[in-house]
Amino acid sequence: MGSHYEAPIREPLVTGNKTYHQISVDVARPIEGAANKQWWIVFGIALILFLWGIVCIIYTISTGIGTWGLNKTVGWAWDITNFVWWVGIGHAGTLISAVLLLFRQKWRMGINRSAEAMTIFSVIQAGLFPIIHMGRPWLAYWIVPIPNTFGSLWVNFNSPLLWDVFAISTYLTVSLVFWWTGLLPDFAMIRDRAVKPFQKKIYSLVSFGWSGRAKDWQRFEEVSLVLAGLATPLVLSVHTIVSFDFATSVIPGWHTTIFPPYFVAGAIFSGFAMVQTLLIVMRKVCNLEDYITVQHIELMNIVIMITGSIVGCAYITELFIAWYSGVEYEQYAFLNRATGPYWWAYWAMMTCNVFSPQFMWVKKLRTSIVFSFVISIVVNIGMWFERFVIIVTSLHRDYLPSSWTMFSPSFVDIGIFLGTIGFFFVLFLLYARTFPVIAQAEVKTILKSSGDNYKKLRDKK
Amino acid sequence: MANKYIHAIYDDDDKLLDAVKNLMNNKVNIEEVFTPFPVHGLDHILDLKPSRIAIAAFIYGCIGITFGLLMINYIMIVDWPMNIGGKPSFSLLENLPAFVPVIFELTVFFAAHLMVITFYLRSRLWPFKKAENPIPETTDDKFLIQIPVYGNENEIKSVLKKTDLFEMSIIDMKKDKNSYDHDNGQIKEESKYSDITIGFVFHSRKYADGSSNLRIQFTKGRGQQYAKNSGLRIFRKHWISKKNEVSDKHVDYIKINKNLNELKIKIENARNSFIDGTIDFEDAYKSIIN
Repeated sequence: MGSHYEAPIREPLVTGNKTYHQISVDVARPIEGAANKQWWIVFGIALILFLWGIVCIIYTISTGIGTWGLNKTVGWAWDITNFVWWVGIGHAGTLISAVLLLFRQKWRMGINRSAEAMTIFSVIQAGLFPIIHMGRPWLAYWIVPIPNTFGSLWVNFNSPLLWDVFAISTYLTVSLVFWWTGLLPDFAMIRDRAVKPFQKKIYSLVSFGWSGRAKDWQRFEEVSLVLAGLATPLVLSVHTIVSFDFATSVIPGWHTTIFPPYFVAGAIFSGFAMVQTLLIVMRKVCNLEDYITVQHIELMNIVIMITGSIVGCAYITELFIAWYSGVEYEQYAFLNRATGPYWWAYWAMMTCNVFSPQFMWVKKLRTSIVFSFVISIVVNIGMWFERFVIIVTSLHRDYLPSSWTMFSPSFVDIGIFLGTIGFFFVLFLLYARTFPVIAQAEVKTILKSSGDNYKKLRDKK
Repeated sequence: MANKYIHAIYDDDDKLLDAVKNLMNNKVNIEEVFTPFPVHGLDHILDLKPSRIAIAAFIYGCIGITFGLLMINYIMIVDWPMNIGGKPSFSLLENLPAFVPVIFELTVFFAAHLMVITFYLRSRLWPFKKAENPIPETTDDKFLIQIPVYGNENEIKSVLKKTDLFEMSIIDMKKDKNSYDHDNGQIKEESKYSDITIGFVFHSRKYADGSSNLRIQFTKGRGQQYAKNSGLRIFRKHWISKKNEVSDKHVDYIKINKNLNELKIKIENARNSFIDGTIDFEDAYKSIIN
């Protein structure tokens, strides 16, 4: 058992005296069983929201962007706020599976599958906003550099908005293959257990005929490692590029060099908060408390606390640099944020993002499931306000005081946002019932080193 | 390709590693090892060559970076240079900082996708591809070594018997492509993986009172599986799966166990006559249900 040694001081990551077979059974249970009433209720609500979002999108496209609350001064508001918010949430998945893989953090194995699923689903939501904001979404393909027949005009590679196109599409597709490659052995496990012929057929199809040969596993591990190595700079680049949308402009409050690291930290912060929200519910509903333990929740809380503090530092640095720069427009932009007509949004952001994660210094609070859940929601609200504050408060006081105005969302703005939340949960709820939500093949590799029964056995010796 | 294979099955990764070491030391030719998860160190013991897929990914990345540079150079510098905010539009090098993000993304895009495609093709993974693990349990908790037999069956067996086997089976491709010819006399009394398996399972749906239908499940080889209601409706918590009967806490347990015994006799008869070859799978299935 020498090769399975792990320091006894480390808490077990898999509890409940699991065997390899028991892991398969536990992971397959939500797929093989029938959905309960609560699932249908939540799914129904999500579906209604989603359908309402579709109605609002159809209304927007058929009538025009004028149905939104935008005006001449505030030309970007809820749509871009929601876009950045969803992209940010989509950062935890790849961070958990790629960065934590490179750092050999075994605790990622209980949560990476769902975090990656969440990444993909939220990037899909994010992608919707720029496309519908185009006004004529059927021409969305004009953003790709195609030899065009409309005249000799190409897309502009100097523009951060085009960088976004490349960054988001690369991120979405690479996350998708990373996720699916990891899913193959787990789909194969479900396939080989399936009793109903239809289930067997579907899981045979999606498992790509995975058989688990020694050579396949060797390649699988190397592909996972290289993909993690590629995805790590990718995940950092994506939110960096999203921040360039603002940072390369000349709007006071936007053109700051701190934006890339500050946005990346904020993205990880909000992404982990969303993973926390989803997994605290999922571990209970799917009986996965043995795989997503309180220790997992605690570690995620620590990440939330640290990234929340980084974000807090960035807020304060921004204020300091605005003052220190001596540029009065810059100084006004930040003074206006904190004390202007949108002061409530600024202080909501400060309270949710900077103060609330500081509770996590207390061990008792960060190991409390209810408290973690509440904080994860608070952080997600705070991160939405962060983007709102950056975007709307920087725009609403234009260079000419005659253009000064306020922004208020129309029911369509709100409807589309709620629609994406509905869409996200529709996808996630379907995922939770049809996909192996724990990377069971990976968890089996750490069972002997981090399973509670094996640890106890070693301690006795 | 050999006509005869020995499948040595283990229920633990460490037992598998010891067995593979043993076989390699005895110069037994191992054709394939199927495992439910990556067993650390197995590739070294099997003397598998290191995978070159990382090198391939590096080359793909180089292709991506070259493609990005050439494309942007053509579009922005050669074909239609534009004065955008006074940026140097006629020189790739001077304008490069603004092109770095897209070139970087394309590098990652090419490296990641082409590597994954290479992996899928090399390991023969694609939609509609049929799985090739000989028994379904190798994706769950069993580890299987596939050894081709070229007249050295007894030598291989004697090596295998020294290892901590869970089970061993002989597959003769000449007789039937999918059938298992068992040689378990000295290893185990009865095989879990006989050609036909008949057992009891519960229907996944519960009735309002918490009971479920007990079904009889028939499995042949990998592909065919049927489940039919046995006509019994019982509480799952009182089921003793080892004995295939209900405990005395169940109401009507005497009656239920009596019915179960009748079923078991039917199943036993059907299984025996199937193994003898007097009836086929369909008949075996019908003889129990009707």
